[in-house]
Amino acid sequence: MSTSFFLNGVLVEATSNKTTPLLKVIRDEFFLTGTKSGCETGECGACLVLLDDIAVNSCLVLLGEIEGKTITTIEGLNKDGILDQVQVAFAELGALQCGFCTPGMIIAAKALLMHNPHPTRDEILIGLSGNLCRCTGYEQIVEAVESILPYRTK
Amino acid sequence: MQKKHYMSFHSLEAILSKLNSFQQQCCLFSGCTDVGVMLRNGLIKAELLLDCKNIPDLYGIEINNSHLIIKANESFSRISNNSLIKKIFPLLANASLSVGSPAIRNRATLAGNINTASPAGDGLIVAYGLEAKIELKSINSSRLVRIDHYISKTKTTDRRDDELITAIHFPLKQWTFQKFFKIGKRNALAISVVNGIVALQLDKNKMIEDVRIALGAVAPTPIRVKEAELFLKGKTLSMELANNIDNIIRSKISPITDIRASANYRKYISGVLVKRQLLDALEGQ
Repeated sequence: MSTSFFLNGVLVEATSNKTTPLLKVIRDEFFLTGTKSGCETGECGACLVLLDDIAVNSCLVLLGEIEGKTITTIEGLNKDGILDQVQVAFAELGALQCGFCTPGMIIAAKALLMHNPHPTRDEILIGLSGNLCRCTGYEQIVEAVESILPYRTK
Repeated sequence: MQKKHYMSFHSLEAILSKLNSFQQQCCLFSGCTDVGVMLRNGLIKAELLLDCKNIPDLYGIEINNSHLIIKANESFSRISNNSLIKKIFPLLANASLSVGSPAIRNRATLAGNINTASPAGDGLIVAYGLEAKIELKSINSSRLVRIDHYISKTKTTDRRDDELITAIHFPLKQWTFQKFFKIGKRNALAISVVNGIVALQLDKNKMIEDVRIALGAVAPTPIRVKEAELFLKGKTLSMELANNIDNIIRSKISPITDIRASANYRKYISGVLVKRQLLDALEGQ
């Protein structure tokens, strides 16, 4: 039996077993490889996606759980080809080295800003605390998030 | 990996009657943050995975007579943001914020943290220290179990196969001072090396009327350090008293050495942590 959900704004049907991790479904069934597979145990944040606007580790979400829900991956953040301001900030400030953690970092930052439009530096650090950057390029990542704040309406 | 089956439930009656009639072993879950890891590592024997997350009756944080009741589906994110909890039990809000990462807290529940029964659970240690009771329901029974009876040994609980945790009950009490503390290798996503709580009820002369000291990751289950509580009870909080507590704590716990820390370090730091809470209480922090 298939599972229906909205993936980046499009209603899709996934045919994998309902206990398959969402991460695997996104990558192997829908070929959206922007969501990265890191530790597969919820410790690295590389697989973050938005589930109804809340950041979750897609490696720890079972396909059956998302019936009727809305999933947004890194591929779904742009609007009609125009990058989200978080994506632009990461690019402009060079907030990446190897790039593997970047999609997860951007989703974490996006989720943080959706729920807290004007985070302090400490709040940004907590918001990104579930994401590991093995290149240790954290400083630029935090700066990228901070660079957006002046352009956001109160 | 063998194929498992997933079922989602939308009412308490439906899941309880299923639990009652199932002959096979099943695995209950809500946030899936522990079960998801165990599934990946092939540690789930049950073929049936039962999702409780869509049961509306299992949501809610409320006060009922003498207890604060947290329903089983409430996540650590919601618990840490709840104004009632921030006001009555700020230590629980703080402990909730130290679990995993934001994305884990969005899904992980206190009920699941308790049921996993790890000796180092950050939500669990607060429930332990505050003498919470676990509400368990089956199709024809309902009972409240003291948490120290519910968790008998590491990763083992008193839950019967036909039962579901429906809520956690915290006795309401006016603590003058209450703190959750934790030592981990890093702040996020690190299992506690030692965690614990200290709660004090002081009269206006700083006499200790009631006290709770609970420590995690120093024994197979979380523990209360009752000897230290007895030592403090009835005495006036002072620098001298605080300076005596660390050795009492150290003499009453027997932690082990593991991948995260040595027994000696755990013993030493446990004494320091409890002493530090008393000093903070003395300074009115």
